[in-house]
Amino acid sequence: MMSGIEHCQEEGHMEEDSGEFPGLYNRENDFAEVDMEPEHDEEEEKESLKKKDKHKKDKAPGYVAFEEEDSDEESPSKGKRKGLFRNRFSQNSKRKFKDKERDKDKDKEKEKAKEKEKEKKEEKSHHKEKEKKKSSSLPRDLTPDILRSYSFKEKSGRKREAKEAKSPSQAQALSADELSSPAREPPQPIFGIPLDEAVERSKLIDGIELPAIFRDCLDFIEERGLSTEGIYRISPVKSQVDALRAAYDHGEVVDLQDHDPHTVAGLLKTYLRELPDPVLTMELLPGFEDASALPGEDERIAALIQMLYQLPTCNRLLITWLIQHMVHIMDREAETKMNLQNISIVLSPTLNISHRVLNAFFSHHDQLFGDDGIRKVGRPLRWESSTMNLDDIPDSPSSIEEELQRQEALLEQLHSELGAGVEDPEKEERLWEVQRIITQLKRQLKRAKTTYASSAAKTSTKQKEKESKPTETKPKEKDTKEPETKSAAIEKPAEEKPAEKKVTEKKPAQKKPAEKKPAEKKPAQKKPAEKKPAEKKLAEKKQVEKKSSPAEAVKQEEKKVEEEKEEEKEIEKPSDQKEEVSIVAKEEAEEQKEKEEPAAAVEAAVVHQEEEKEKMKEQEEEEEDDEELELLLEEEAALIAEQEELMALQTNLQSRIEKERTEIDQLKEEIAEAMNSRETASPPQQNGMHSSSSNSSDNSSDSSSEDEEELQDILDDLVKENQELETKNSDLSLAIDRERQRCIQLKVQIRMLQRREELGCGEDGQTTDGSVTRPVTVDRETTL
Amino acid sequence: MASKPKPPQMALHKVIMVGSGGVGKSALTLQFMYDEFVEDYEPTKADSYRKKVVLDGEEVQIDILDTAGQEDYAAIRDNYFRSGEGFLCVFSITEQESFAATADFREQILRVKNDENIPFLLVGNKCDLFDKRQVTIETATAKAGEWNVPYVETSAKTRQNVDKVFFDLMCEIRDRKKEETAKPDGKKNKKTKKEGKRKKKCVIL
Repeated sequence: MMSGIEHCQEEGHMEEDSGEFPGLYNRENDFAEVDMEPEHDEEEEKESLKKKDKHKKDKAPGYVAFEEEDSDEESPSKGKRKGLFRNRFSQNSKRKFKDKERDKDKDKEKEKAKEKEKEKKEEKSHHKEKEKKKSSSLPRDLTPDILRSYSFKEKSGRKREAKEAKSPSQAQALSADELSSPAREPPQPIFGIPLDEAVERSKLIDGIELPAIFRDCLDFIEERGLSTEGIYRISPVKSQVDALRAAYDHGEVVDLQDHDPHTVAGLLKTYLRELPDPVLTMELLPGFEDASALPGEDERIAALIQMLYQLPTCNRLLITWLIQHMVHIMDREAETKMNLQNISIVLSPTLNISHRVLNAFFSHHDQLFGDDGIRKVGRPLRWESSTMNLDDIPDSPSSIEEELQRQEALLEQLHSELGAGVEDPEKEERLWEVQRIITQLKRQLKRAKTTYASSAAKTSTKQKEKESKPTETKPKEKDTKEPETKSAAIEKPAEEKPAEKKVTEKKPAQKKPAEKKPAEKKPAQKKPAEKKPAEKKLAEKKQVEKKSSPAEAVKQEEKKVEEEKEEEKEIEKPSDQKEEVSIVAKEEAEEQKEKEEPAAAVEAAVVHQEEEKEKMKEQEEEEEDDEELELLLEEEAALIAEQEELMALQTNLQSRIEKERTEIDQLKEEIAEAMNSRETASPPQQNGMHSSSSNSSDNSSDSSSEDEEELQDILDDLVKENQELETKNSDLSLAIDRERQRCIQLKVQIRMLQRREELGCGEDGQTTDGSVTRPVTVDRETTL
Repeated sequence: MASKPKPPQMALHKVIMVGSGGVGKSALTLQFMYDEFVEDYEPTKADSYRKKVVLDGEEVQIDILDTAGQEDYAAIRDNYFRSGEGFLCVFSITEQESFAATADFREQILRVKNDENIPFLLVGNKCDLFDKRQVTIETATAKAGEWNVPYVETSAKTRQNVDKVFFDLMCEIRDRKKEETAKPDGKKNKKTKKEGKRKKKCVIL
């Protein structure tokens, strides 16, 4: 208590001191106003007192309540009406005050009475310092009042709190929402805080520096209010606005959908009106005035542009979007009945911008604000219905991932809020909901990828002209299903590495041009990506993906990455199969190696196959950068075709392996025969064999050794012959392979052309694009 | 109002899966939810599901939160624990450590919920792998007895007892809720009511 008294005295002093403060012209104004509107001033004073101390003078509680209601009416909105700067200022500090008070209330819950008091004292004195400057009538009756307030509060802190929550004077902020849980105070108010702070607190995940409330309102009115008569002009239902406002101040995720456009417009106006610093900033406001007063139109525009660029980013963005939005409303004057004049009348006091400046803004909006369009918010999905409802979940992988990102951001926010110790059942509920959505999104993503993969496989089976192991393709698909994009992205390079190495070992020259290619192609192929003609026949599921990539510049980057990832996945599938093919071949080759001879040829074939694979990959890589989905589709078709051809090649090679196997057998037989003949020539064969190498004259006769030599010669000859045959064989098979590859390329090209014809034209640009790539690849192969 | 007045809803029971990593929490959940057995091991961060079920002839909803077994996510876990109404504490009968860890989980839950009688089931999963058993039924039952909770062995693979554990827990939760409404000793319920009263008083002031 003592401390309380002391403090009050201090305050009294301070108030007196403030009288001596120099340059307090505001005070005079206030005094003048007191004369003019004594009632009002008293209210104001009381309000501030109450806020400071939650305390009333010697007044009956009933009267107090009444007063509060009164003061509400006069609070920020009334203040605004009175005039510009000074009122701005006092509002500002009042608002700050409110915030503080909220904090205080929070603290109260946590701390003991004494601590509370101390804090309050501090805050009070702090506040006083500010208050000094603007409110003049404070000094009177202060001390006793405060004394009483302390004792009163100590007894009934809770009561007071609740009462305040009731009283609408608590900054219209307190809604039914809050009433239901008076103890809860907004952790991070949005209303009445500086724009940049609001942006910091409620920026949406697309990173645009505007507070959520602004964007919500704009989105809503753009969507639903553009044909509403008198939008922004007709007064909203105040209680609804208050409820919404409270929700925003509580950091709740607000759904405006059920509200009336006028309510939302009112909410937006309230928000803008309560910005502590007007959108154009106190500092720059005069500059804008001057600029818009310039006589020459060009001059005026130039000056205004210059002024706009002096604004902080968020302010500039806000005024830009707002003006554009208002222009939309004026464009539909027939319905909205809102013309330039009406809008100006409505906006001028809200934004604290004079008619002249607004007029200039609107008449030159094209030049001043033309370049930055309003962007709709990519809003995280809600899951209002308690039952499963997957309808809202997007079905293309990229849009799912986008949504996932939004939800994860939301989840993180909820976690950090809850982790901070706020007990809020609603938030906890929300946490589960978001988590549920995320889980479903993840499942959906998996599923989408699966269907994506399998439908791709289906098309490939459809297109199959030759029968090439459909059974083998199936299990492979499953493998590709499982890994998510991330792993797919990682896997791919990993797979590529060994193959690449082999190629570099064998043909280092080949790699260089191949790698240059994609880099060159990139810029060229990005262009067509922008135009996107609609192409329905080509695999519908992919169209969904296309749909999901609107011209949103910000998201395009992300999307690009996603699409690339998907491409990689797609690529992975055929290459997987390819690898399997080569593994089969390899296994066979290993078998062969055991049987020694023509293994080299087979190996060559295997190497070749790997080269093919590599080439395919290179080709794919070239196109990988291409965002164009049509191209992608074509590519896919080409790959499928190529794959089929390669399958055919594989069977071919296998048959050849068989042939060669029989050849080996024959050769073996020959060797065996030779051995046999030698054996018959010299019965002690094994000894002879030994002696031939170690001591030739030991056991065997001269003739037999001659015989042996002869046989040895024959053997050597045979081996040599064999080797020659081998090299020839491999050369030939290489040549054949090359030819074959060229054939494949040509076949693929032919097929692609046929396809294109089928689909009709319209994508001439890509056609050339595609056909340019392929001949080049063929050329490269021929030079091998 | 920001939150729309929701239509009268069917009862919703919130179940949380806890246990060390790899014991099969997600497998149990997915088996219960979608009748699927997922073999691939993919660590969960947190997943949540909702399902409509008929509990003793009454249609109710179950919210299942599948948590991460790894300690790395302990921080997030607390946020969920607070709103959980019942817990399935899962270990793998083939892994002694996972059984030992259940004590920690129980402790954590009791710390957050501050309620000895919170609906809780000790679940020994992977009982199809009996030949690799490391935790005997006796030890597990003894532990469960110590905590005064039921012990059930399950197999997410064969679906053995999967429904049982979820339904048993739901029953417990439901009974618990009934008790609470009967004699309002539940902390939260009471609190909000009190506050409501206080509010009204203030109006008179």
